[in-house]
Amino acid sequence: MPEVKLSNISKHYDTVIAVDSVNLTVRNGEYVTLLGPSGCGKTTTLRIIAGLTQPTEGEVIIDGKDVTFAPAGNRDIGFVFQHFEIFPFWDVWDNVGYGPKLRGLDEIEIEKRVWEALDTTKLADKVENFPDELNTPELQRVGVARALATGAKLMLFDEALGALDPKVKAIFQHELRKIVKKNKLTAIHVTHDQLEAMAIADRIIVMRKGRIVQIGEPTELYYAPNDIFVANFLGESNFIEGVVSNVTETGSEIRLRDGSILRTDEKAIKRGRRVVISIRHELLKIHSIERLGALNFIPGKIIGYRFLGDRHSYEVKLDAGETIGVKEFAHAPPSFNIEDIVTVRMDTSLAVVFRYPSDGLAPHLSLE
Amino acid sequence: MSPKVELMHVTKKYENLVALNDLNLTINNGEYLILLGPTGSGKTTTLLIIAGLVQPEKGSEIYIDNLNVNNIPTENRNIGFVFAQYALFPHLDVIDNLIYSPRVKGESLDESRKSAREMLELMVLTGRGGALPKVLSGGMKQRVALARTLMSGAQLLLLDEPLGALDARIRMALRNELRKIVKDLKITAIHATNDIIEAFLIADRIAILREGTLIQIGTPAEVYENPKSIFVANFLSATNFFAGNIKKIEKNSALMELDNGLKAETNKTSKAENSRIVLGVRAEDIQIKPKIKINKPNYFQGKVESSKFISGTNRYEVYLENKERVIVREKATREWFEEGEQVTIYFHPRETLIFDYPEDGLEKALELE
Repeated sequence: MPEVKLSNISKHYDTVIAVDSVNLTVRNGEYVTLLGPSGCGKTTTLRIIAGLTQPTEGEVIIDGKDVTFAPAGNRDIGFVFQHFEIFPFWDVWDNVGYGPKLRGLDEIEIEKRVWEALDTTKLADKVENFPDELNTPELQRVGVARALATGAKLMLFDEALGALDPKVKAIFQHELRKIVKKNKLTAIHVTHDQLEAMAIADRIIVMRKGRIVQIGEPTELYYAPNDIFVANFLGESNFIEGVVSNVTETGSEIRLRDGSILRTDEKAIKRGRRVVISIRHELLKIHSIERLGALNFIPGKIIGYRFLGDRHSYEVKLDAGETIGVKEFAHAPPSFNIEDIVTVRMDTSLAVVFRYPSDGLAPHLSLE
Repeated sequence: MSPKVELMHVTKKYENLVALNDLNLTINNGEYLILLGPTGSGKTTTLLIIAGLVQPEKGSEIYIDNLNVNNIPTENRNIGFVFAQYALFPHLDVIDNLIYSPRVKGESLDESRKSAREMLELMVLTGRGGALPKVLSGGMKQRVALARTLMSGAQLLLLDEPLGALDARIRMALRNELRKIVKDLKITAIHATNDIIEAFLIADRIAILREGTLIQIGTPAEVYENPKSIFVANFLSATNFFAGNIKKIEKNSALMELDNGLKAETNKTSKAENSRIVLGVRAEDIQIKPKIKINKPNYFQGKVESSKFISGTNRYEVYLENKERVIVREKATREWFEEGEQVTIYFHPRETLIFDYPEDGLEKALELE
């Protein structure tokens, strides 16, 4: 179970800085994801760990050994690609047996490893099939089996579930996590899909523009983002502008643009400062307008509704100006209609208050 | 006026493979219809046939606004497409790509540029108006293609996985916008996707396809609340299935003995006593509690094998005493169950789905490809 350490890693291509001073430790047996939009540097970082790309600066340390200049073949890593990269003229058995064979293992050991990998990935009845006889999820399993059979304890997944149908993907995510955990592997998994990152990872490393923005467990990033970008990128958040109108020992009051007051737990921001409150869709609940005046009930009008199966999704135009999303778990038909004048109860105990950025909100909410 | 589209007895075969099997479907004026199904279910073939890019078998009829268009070529059907492979004019920048159709139709340069800029903002492409297609990423090109089609003035839009190549987060942002734009333009849209949330968020009605056959159609609430098959129930929302027999019919419920030895009380049913059925319970309709000693129907004992927080929900895999696995999903709370904890799960009889036991067995009924 190797530990991976990146120390001050950068990668420059001509004038473009793809990875910018990344420091990171992935612990023994940990499953982490590198999450971020296209072009954030996550794949380059993964390729640097694999030895497929040379960093411009910094060190890659695996299990205490500096491997920065070691060739990929000497790093003992299993790599699973998005497009599988499976040998088309070999059957499943030969594809999966390729890694152990390359390592010069004896026949008995090769056979044992291949069977184990095929069992784990539920491919035991496909050993004699050729890639063109398999469907996409099966090909993906071959990719994983092949990486497992190498015996490597460090697995790198590069958008490895990207080609799967969403439904198949949602099932395979949980399977993949189980495989990694059961075999006591360390895994680093690149994805742009925040739901996949949360489903799979012990910790998520959020990257943007070549840099790490935040590292944490899914609940930590979700409920305590340290940055507006993270609050927006993971899950669905509303951003409501206001000014700190009062600070007490237990929290502060924030005045929204219509004069409504929200009481929050935030104590660190001074009175008079302009702020943005970030609050998740599902921490809000719609009530009748009669509740106006009660603590943290904010007035608005329903302008949109969608039924999402397990959830009701409302769009509410607040008197304060913002249009916000509200998601309520549904066990009954929706209680409100479009055009209804309502109040929205905001559970601010899990809201996060940010200082209003000096360059405005837009660059922080950009999804690139 | 945005057109009505009717498909009657539409079948398409590729050699031995039946890609579409006697499809009958009406898309109303101004309706937003989503074709939902796994890969290979016939969604794209349906769009290609409506567009006139693929010829269906004899006996298939396609009407646009009550006019049979079987023999009308694509360019005369007044359709806007967005296909997964986007085709942009490579020598024109983004803005010029967008204003091409409006200009051909005689809109002024200023006016069309203004709407193009508004469209770019909606498509998260602000500031990219001057770029040539070749410098854009795949996801950006797809958004430009979508924007161009929306500005084309076509009254019927065919969208094949229009958000497919996008980053997950941008996809989330755009699916909300897409419905709004289409509704504002009052156009008829037919949109193929394999993404269930996208279907729920966007569609007026969802048509669910499987292996070339239309298996159910309805509003999002209709198909979710009343899935007509095991496949649909599971496809729309992770569902747990228990096979068993009805033991006793009550006035508003039925008592069931499951193959796993447990007892369940079900929703009201028209099935007879002793019929062999499958009980479906959606992951989000199961409650999970610390272990309590109780011996009543619908209370099952188990152990948490996996516990994961995913975007405001907790997802559990609970193994019952007989090792059967049950998926439970609930709104995230401050406290959650850890792996290894003993729990009791419960579901209300009202929140159960009842299906005939499938002839080919349960596994076949659930197959996704």
